Amino acid sequence: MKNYFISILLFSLVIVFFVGCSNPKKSFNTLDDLQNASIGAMTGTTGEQLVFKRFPDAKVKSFDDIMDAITALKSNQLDAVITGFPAAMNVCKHNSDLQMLSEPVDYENTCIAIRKGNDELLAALNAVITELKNDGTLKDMRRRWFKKDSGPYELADIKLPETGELLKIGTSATREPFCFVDENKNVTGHDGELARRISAKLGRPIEFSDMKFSALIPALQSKKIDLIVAGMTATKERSKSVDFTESYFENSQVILVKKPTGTESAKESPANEEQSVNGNKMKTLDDIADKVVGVYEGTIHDAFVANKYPKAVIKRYNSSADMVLSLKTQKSDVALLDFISANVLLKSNPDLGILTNEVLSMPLGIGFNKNNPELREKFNRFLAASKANGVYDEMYQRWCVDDPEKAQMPEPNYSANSVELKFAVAVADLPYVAYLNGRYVGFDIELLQKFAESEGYRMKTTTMEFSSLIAAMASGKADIIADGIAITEERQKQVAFSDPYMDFKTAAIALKTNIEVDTNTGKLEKLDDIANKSVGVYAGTIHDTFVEEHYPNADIQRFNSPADIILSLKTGKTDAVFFDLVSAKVILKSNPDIGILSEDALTLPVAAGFNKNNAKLRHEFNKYLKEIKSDGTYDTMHKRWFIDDPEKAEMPKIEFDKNGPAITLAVAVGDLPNSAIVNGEHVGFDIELVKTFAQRKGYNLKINTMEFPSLIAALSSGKADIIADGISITEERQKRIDFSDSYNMFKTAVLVLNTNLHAAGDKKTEETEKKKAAVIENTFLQDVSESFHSNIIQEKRYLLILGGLKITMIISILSTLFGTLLGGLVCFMRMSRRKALRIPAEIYISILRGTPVLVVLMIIFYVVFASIDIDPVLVAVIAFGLNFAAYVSEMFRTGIEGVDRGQTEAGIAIGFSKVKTFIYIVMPQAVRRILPVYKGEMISLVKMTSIVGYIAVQDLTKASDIIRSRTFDAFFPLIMVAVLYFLISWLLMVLLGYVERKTNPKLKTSRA
Amino acid sequence: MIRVEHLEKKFGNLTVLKDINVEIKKGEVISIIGPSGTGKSTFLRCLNLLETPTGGKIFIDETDILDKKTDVPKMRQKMGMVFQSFNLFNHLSVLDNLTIGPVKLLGKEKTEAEKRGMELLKMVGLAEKAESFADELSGGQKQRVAIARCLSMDPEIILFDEPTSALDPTMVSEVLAVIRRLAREGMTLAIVTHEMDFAKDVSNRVFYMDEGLIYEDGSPEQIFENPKKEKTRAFINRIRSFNYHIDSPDYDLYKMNAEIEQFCEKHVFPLKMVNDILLIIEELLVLYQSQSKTINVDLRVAYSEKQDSVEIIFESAGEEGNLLEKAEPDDIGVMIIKNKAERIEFQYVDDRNKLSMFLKRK
Repeated sequence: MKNYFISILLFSLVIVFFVGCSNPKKSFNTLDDLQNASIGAMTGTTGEQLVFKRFPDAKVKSFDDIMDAITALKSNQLDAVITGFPAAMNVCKHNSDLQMLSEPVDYENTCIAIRKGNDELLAALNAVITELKNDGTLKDMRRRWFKKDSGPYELADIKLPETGELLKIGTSATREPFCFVDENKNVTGHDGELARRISAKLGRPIEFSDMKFSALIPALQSKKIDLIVAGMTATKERSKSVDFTESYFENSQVILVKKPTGTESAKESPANEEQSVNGNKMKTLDDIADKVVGVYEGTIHDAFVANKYPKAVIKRYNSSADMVLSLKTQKSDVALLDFISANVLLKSNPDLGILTNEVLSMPLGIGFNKNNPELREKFNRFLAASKANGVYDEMYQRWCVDDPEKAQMPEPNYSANSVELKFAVAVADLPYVAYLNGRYVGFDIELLQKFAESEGYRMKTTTMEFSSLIAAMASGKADIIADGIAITEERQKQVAFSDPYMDFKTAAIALKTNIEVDTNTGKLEKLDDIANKSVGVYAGTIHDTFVEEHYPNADIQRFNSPADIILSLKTGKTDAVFFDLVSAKVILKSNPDIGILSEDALTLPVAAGFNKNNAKLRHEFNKYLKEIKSDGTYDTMHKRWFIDDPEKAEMPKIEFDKNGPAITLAVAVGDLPNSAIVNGEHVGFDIELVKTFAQRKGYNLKINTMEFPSLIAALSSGKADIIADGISITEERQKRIDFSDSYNMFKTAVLVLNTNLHAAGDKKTEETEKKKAAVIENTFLQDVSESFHSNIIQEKRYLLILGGLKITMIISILSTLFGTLLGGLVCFMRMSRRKALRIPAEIYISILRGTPVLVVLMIIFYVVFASIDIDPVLVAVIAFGLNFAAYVSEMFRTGIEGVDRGQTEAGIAIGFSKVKTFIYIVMPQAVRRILPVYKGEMISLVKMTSIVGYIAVQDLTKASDIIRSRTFDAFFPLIMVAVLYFLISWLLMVLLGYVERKTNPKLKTSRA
Repeated sequence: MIRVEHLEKKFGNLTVLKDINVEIKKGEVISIIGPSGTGKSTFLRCLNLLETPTGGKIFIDETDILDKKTDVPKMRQKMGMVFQSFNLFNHLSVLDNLTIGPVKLLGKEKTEAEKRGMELLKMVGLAEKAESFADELSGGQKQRVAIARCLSMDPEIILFDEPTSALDPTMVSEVLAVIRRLAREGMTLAIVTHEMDFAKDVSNRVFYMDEGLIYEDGSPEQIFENPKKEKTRAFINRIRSFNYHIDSPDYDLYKMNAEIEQFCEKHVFPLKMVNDILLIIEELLVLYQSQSKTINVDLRVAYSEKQDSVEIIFESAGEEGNLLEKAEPDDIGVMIIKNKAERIEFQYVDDRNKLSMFLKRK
């Protein structure tokens, strides 16, 4: 009987398997696959007509709404859906299981429809459309509405006229992104905006009528509406009934299909391999020789590819969006564009990757008329000045390092009698020139704007195609041209360029699936070699964001101290690390195995940070900076710390006016020459700078140390008045704090192990070998005693350790006491029968047990006691006590509930009150039970205190950090601290063991 | 000394004590007996407010202990309690168990309390265990220490909640001995117990509790020898009975027999006994049916554990008349009956013929 059932089961399984296998769903990759398919189309649209024409054997199903068609597609009732490109793109955004076929069915023009016989209106509309095309509005609208990501749409601010003859606009607001309704039920979308612009330009108020698409033309004819702005295609058929304006959008009808899944995909995808012009993957730049290369029309890339790779097929595009689309739809294999724009694109297109950064490097210049050398000279002077005074760097940072999409473009500030300059640009792309929210933005724009402001000019900007710029200059239509124009010999024949204002690096980008990734780590030769390596940076610093921005493929490792960074490099955890140049040079002296890959990865201004509400202090500081720069004090300081050996620098004694107002300086004890702790004293350039300031202005300065990432928080929460420690000025930081004027320039070097340095060659390895040999001479014992000396004795570092030990013990003991008492109270509440007591206790316990102690610690320090001047040790005691109490209360409860009920009854029966019964009968037994667990928790608490460094408490762990930051020795300080923590725990164990024995009555009377 | 009026105790919807009214005088030794679950322990625990009554009043020395103003812990000091599970303080030595109360509550000096403690230990025979801890003692020893602990507080009355129920028979006697001694010395005691012989022996008053009341209250002789009420008697004699009513000639004989058999099985009667019972009943019914046109019979088989006897009672409605005598002298049925049963009695009471007999013993 059983066997019978089993065989039936197996048989049916086999059948199902075969049925499933032998009937694969047909997959659709090209248009020809659709000949016999069932295709969905929207009623009355051009798509519907196309299907009939192009796929006569296909089964066509018509829908009123695209969402109905999509639903049918998803549930396999249709094989494909035909619709316009923007709608298709929108659908793919929200449905990851659908995709567009790369080959469009047909191209078509999207126009506005009006009633026949109204030539005046037709002409007016055409004029508006032309205007919008020319000034780049349409392009900008396309960018904003037809975007691939599913973030919110950027809306334009358009003033609509209130008076005038009403224009009734017909639309079908279910065709996102052409026209659809927002959450306030207003018609929006590309066409919604277009209609509003028309309204503004014609000076007529508008009213939207939303209806089914197929009802639009009848409505127009019956005068219910005056215009149709609904992504409608101009067809011959329709032209019989209505008049169309010029096209405002070049649309295409595309096919949507379901993405293949499972076994099929193994065959079908990567479709790339089948569909690319040449299926091989690309590894280096030369691999593009036989591929389809997309370039920006009229740019040097064009000429470059033509010259160097004559066999490559060049496709020319007018915008980066088009280039990206061509990559994605396999129309091209690789695209060349400037490095900065490439990075922006990569961020929003994760399926694209960089093939190489090293295609071309050309200087960029601003173009001037050959007959106007004076203007050019003025500009060159202006350029040199802005490079010197940091304005250039700040602009560069904003547009080329940080996300240009987020950059703030300052408003122009032209003087009253300014002379007009005709300025022509191609609205290529950020970061150079773009059109955003109705005005021109970008690096080039701002540069020229600033130039104009300083020389009493006013810029009048017009746009044109890139290839027309030079012609415009030559014909005098423009006085200045810009848009990331590279200086080439060819161009120099026709245009006089300014001095180069930027270096233009070209990158080649392609679909990641087409790039062969070089897994061989290989040696590093130049900075860009770190692109796919493991890179170490100081967490939260400018290096962090720099690497993220510029080398998105790199594996970024973040560390909390310079010592850790170097350690990671030495132990091979990172391939390259970013390090402040001056400190790097110091490190190199004592670490012969480390070398410099690049001396100047980036340069940024360094300044001191102030609370945004403390402008007075900041202005004082700035004044002080000017003073010391002029009276030579600055130079002395600079020489002492940066030119001479900072290790040997002697920190001058600076006394403060004890009666002066108190201010706090917060530093992260990073490293010389900026700020370090030597002989228990704060030293360094930044320290001396601020100390001198305090002395001169009569302040009583106090210095606090904390982690680097906490510095800014400290300012915002009022725990510090000034922060300084080689902090570079960045846009991000400027949002939260105000910077003084820059007092230094911060050069960053990239360090690598010499063995990884390609250029090192034999010579360096020889030297390193010699040095290594010299080092090996030391025996282990000598090493240890050397370590001991440098870590403990030198500079009286043992004092640091003792101080840290004291703090650790104080915090541990006080929080244990506080936590135990509080825990008792919470336990009492938790065990009460009254809900009013029990519920708060339960909530307290679950919150405190569920939140990491570090988070609790920082919340109490930075939020609860935000502007209150409270000793951070007290904060630590509170935080740890609160946490400990939650655990202690549950421990108590376990102990109490574990005591047999009969004990309580006996106590009560004898005549003890409930309280006395608890104290004399229950508690002694409960405590005995939980003592072992309590012991463990207490020791845990001691070790937890090692995190107080985050709120600027110098405990044992922080002491070791400080020592390590001076000696860069990893082994000794860590081991030493571990030993000390162990000793503390061991002492506690002994102590509590004593208590245990004392409270065990049996042991007391010696009868274990 | 203790007066209880209309004491009621409910646990949710379950009423354990309905309406208790009783007075306990000084020097009385009261045993409280009864079936399980009838509230004996509950009643005891209400007296010292380990359970809080839901109704009624309790007066101890004329003080209403349910009054909010009464210092209840202080009242409790006058009443000691001995628990079924001993409840000695595990974290204290035996001697400390005896001194903690007096020192902390009665304000005695430690040395004085210890002296008295040793005396008490001697009295219960455990002087050598003074420094031991509870987990080192046997059950009987623990209970004796518990009693000593009560005494250390100089109580006026000691309440015993099934003091020997958790002990094995060998240790029961040592504890009972101590209790006997207390009784002899004139201490007021209230003991909930299942030791019937002990109760009969030591107490001068017995409460039989049932149905949430003090069902019957009397001297040991009364309760144990001559229980007035039905249930008391049933309890005392540990009588179990089987009842069957027949009121139609079409009664199901087999069903009745099956039920009788089941009853017998429950009490593990030997097979012969079962057959004898069935036979006697069958014969009685035949006789009855031959003598009477209608059937209205109450049949009862009562088994007394105590006396190990089976009584068959045959009650029928109708004219006065003994079934057996009304039959023919040489009737076989009568002969069988007389052969198997003894102590055959006949009564005519309340218009019913009642014929009772005991199964003969071998």
